[in-house]
Amino acid sequence: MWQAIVIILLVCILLGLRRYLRNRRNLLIHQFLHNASQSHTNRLCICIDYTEPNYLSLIERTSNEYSRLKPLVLFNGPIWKAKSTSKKLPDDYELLWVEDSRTLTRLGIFYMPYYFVLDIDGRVVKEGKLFA
Amino acid sequence: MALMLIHLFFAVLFAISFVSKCCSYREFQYSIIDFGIIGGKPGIMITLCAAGVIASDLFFVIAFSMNWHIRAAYMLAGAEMIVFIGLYAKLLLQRRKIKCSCFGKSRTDTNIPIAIARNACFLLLLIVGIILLNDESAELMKSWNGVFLASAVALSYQIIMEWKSAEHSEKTG
Repeated sequence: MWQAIVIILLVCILLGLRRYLRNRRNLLIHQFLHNASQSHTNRLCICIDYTEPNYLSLIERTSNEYSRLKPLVLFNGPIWKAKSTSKKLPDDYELLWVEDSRTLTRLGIFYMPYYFVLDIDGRVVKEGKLFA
Repeated sequence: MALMLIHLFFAVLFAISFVSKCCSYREFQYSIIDFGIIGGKPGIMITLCAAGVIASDLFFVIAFSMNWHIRAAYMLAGAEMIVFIGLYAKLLLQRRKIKCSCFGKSRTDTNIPIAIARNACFLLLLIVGIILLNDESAELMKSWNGVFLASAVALSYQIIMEWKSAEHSEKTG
């Protein structure tokens, strides 16, 4: 009997911790985008590394999939590359230059290219790695 | 005694593997894709493969803790180790990098030679276990305490790893 109680307690701690960490991550993303971007809710965020081949087509394909959301591209790479990419994107796309990949790691993004969808409250509701 | 320790070790090992894979299921699917044998995108085959590996982990936890179909568990676990050693060797030859997610979400790429050595050690231990195995010793160890111990260790490990991972994020930020 006590064994079952210990296991249930550990499961509850784990679930609670995961929920707390998820909320904290949402807050970190909220703070990061709030400082760097105009609007940070109800958005599609696409994280791209400059080494990724065909990243423009990946951005286009993903934003077409979520056409009702305004895309925000988080670009990790040299600034000149970010500027040239920004010029190639349509006017309604916003591009944020991320100098250090650790910034993305801090936001819980360990795979590149990656996308996440923010709801009206700025919470991550959908995310995943992008595949060519 | 030695056999009991081997069984307990594998029960805990596969319990950690099971819990961590369940907690980072999406990342585990990406790892299967990165191995490059089933497909290049998430799909039904990747889902089935991930579910199969997780189900086998659960089977190993019960089998090694309860001595339930123990010979089959040894054979299957051995086969799984050989398959993974082969897959890692293939990646090493192709000089490809991977985040293996064997024991949860990985931030950095897996050190493939170390992963091969680790799996070879597990394989060796499985061989020792099956040599020592006899019906009498297996009969002695039938108890739910093994399942409890393995589950408790795996859940505690996962709690610590999640917490450490969050702390690491804060530091790198």
